[in-house]
Amino acid sequence: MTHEAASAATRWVGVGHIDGLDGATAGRRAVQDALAGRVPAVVILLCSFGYDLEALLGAVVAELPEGTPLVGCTTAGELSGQGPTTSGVVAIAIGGEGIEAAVSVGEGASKDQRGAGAAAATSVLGLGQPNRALLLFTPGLVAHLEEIVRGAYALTGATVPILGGAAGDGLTRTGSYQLAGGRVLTDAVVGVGIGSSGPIGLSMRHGWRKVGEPMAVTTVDRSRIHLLDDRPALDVYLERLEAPPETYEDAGAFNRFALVHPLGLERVNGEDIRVPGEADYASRSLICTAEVPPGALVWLMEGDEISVIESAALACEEARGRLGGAEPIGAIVFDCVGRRLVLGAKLDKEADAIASSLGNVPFGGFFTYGEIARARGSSGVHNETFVAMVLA
Amino acid sequence: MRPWSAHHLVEFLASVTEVDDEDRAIRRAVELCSESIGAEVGAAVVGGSLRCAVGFGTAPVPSALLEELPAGIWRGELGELGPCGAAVCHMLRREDRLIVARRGEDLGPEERNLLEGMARVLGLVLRTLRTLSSERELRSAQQQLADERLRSVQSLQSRHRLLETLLALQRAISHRAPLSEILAAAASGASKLLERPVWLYLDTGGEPTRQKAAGGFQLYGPAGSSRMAALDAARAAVLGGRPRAGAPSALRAAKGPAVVAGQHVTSTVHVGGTVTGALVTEVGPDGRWDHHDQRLLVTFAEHVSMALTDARTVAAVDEAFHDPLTDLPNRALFLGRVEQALAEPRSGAEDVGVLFVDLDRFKAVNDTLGHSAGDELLRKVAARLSACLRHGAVAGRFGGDEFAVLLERVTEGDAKALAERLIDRLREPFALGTSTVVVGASIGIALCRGIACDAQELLRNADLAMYQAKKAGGQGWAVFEQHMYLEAKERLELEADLESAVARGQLRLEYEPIVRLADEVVVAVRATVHWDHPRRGRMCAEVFTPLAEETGAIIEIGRWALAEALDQLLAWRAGGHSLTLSLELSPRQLHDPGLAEQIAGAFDARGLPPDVLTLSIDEAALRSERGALVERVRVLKALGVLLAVDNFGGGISSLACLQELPVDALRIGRSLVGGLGRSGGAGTLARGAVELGTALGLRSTAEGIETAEQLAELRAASCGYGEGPYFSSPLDAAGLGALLDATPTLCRALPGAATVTTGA
Repeated sequence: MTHEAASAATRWVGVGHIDGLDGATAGRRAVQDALAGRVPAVVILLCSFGYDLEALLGAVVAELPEGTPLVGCTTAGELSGQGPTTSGVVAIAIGGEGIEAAVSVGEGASKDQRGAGAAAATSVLGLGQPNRALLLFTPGLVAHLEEIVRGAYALTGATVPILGGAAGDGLTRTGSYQLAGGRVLTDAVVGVGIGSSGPIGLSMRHGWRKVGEPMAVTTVDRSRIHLLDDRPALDVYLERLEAPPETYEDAGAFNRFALVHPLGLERVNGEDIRVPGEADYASRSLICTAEVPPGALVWLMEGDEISVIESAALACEEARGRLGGAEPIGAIVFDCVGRRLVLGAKLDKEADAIASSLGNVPFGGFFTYGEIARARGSSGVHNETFVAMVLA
Repeated sequence: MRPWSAHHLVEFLASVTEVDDEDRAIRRAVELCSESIGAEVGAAVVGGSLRCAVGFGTAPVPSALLEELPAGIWRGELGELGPCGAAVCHMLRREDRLIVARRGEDLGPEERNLLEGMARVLGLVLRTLRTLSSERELRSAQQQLADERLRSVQSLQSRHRLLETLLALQRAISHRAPLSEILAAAASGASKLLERPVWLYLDTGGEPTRQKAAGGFQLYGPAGSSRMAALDAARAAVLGGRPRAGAPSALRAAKGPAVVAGQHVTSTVHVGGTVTGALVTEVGPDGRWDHHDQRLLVTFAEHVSMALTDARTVAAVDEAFHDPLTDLPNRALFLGRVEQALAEPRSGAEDVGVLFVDLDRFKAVNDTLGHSAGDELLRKVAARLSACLRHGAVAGRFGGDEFAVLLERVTEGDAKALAERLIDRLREPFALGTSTVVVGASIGIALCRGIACDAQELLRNADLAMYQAKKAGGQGWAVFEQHMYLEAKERLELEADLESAVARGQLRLEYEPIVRLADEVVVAVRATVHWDHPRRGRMCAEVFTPLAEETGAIIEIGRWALAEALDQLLAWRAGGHSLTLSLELSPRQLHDPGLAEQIAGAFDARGLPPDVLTLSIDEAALRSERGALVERVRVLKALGVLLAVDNFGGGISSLACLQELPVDALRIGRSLVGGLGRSGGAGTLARGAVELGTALGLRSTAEGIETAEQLAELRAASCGYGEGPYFSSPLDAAGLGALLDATPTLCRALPGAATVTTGA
């Protein structure tokens, strides 16, 4: 199926979304749908963890002119105007006059986060177009996502927005993959710099509210919270939330529970959300998807279907509003897997809300293990958040 | 401040203190600052140069601009980032600044406030890291030195054991283990490696001799029969080593001494070039002793020298800069700190302040409870003082009951508030053993007030202000003002002038006739001193006596006055006027141990009977110091002179004085006499005083009679004698001589007196 939109210029965004099938077939069809016969400047591939990735990537590369920048990652669910899937592939192609792109990869991210982030950011440096953005696809379970973003920010500086997401593994917690060119990578940060002669709008929103009294993070090692209010963090967390019994011993159950019961860090511009995605039952600590500063106050956060859907719509509207009046041609979105779990059966409604906020232009994206968005300020790591980048 | 500020600061502190090197701490701080307030740019200027900048990416960083940004708010173009609003905050040092900038808009006041806090925190962290790093460097330098020393003895046999032993010894020295442990370890270490007993002899005082068997030394090493022989050998080495200071044994050792079995071998120990002891061992029956053994003994002796020198240096440094009683910095160290504080740059509102704290009534505690109680009190005062100070303030003790506090970056208000707090705290009772005492403090405050002043001056000003507070009654504070300095200067000059007043012949005596009231015959004269100051003109005793009392010049003045007055009396008596003399003694004179002898000598020299002299002592002095004075007064009385109580004014304590002291006469004070002839209490009091004297069998002399009415009432009350303007004002010797020659009775004969009478 094909989604495309004409713009005042000849720039275009095409999205193909296939659910199921074998990797090679799904990849080929998705990219064919996205291209619709056009020559892309860049292709982004977001695919289910379940596919044969080598086969999928091989089929996609075969469809593209040699040297076409190709990036992507595995997901915890895919998303487009067709709605959400958990076993599909989304291909986003961008092309036309005034669009340029370059890819660079930082490997060994678990050892040197800053270095990997910086290496991935070099992709944006050579671009000549006035409007630029750096998209990062990072390993899903790597610690210290902040350091990756700091490494990238050190290179881009304040003039280039950074966005992206941490790759998913379909909630199996077995490890994610990143895609660059024809290669399937692990432990790598893949960066794609996108330049456009047209404006690029960026926004992010989360739909969570603080509940009850805050807790002090009394002992923390980067993203591992040892003590909350001077007590073992895991115990405090489970007790405060009156968590179901299975979360006390089943890591998978805990993970699913934590995704819909995140923690909020108060920040100058609102809250930063942290998902204590992993429980260490032996040390009674909580491992978050992003850093938690020592001494911070954290709140339990609550959200519901309405607030989650509204936040996605609002982010899209804001991003669109930052195009300086230009008409959007398409969008890339990064949506947290935790939000997917909150929405449950109402997941389709989110895709509808996004499409209508964007004026029904093509969009594609995926459910992530951590979102990256920096347009203002210098911090860029988020959890349980919806990030939209709209092109015009 | 919004609630997020406080915990942001906590987060910031926790994060920045996690790292242990300066570069990482700065980078983390810069990133956290900008991230936490959502700004794009963060930078740190340390020591005037840019150390870290984020937000510029690969674009050129405007280093020169950032380095020159003054503290405060800044708005302008930041290179390729375009217009930015920035906050520039000082860390602890002026040359260290934290800069955070946001593109396109200014930072709000709360954000700036948060950044100020973060900058301070970073400053603190950097200071700590610098201290740690300099300590590490020092330690590594020491370690290096130790390593080098070790290398030099690597050729020795049993190298491994030697290394271990020496290293342990060096560690003990550099970690400042107790000296006795180090010394014992040196002796036993050498003994282990040489596989024979080794003793360390240390001379701890006096010249050692072969005969002096006990005292003045320490001997470390095994007990047993060979100990005494070792001691002898060590003493001989120390005696032999002294004239040739400068490690002679090491030189001898290099040549390789011939040693026979049973002989002692020594290596001397030096402190500051003086031989103070020796390591001594005994060569066994096998006679084995080679140059390796000798070098080993010398090495250990050198380590002992090092330990002793180090211990002495530490003790000397500590002693030189700390008050041993309270462990507070002494004047020298305190002055240094003040100098340091004055050299630090400050903002306009901040000032360096010194509080000079002097205890009230400390002497009384010392005198009544003894010195050890006094010491305990001082320790407790030091503890209370220190507890009142916030971080950064420095307390010091200057000896006696004088303390001082240095405040960096304060306002006058802060300093006054601290002074109040200290006064309140020191006013609370102190438990000393079984007693509880209450002292209190007077505090002088001096601030540099932005004027370039030096530490000495600031301290002096605080001292002068304290003096002012003390003068105002104690238990209070005063802030230094320029007039205090001028007054003190004037006082000092006057003190200096007073010292030489007698020698320069600037003092004069005046004589006031004392009249028998019954027939108005002049029977005695009261001599008073005045000072013809070359610049200030005539000064009467009331003006300069308090100063002379304080400086002790009163002793010399008193001696001069007695001699002068007795000479004059002798002259008048030779002229047929059988007068007696009245002189006032000040409390300080009474305490002069030479006073009795001097009076006795004066009478002997002139052949005058002692009962022609009446010495008067002020009633107030008697009241306050009665206990201490009784004995002194008795000694004087034993000379045969008469004693009078001056300014007698009634009251219970006065009555007690009269009963206890061998007093002959009372001098009724002017204040009482002035009340006569008027209705009211004073007249009654004067009459009462006279009657009291009569009842106790004492002669009464009324001071300062001005009117005929007063005279009449005194006569009616049977007061025996009187003096005052009604009869005559004080005259010089010639004037009084003329008066005596003219007439023995006064009131109608003297035109001046008549004038006073009619004037009254």
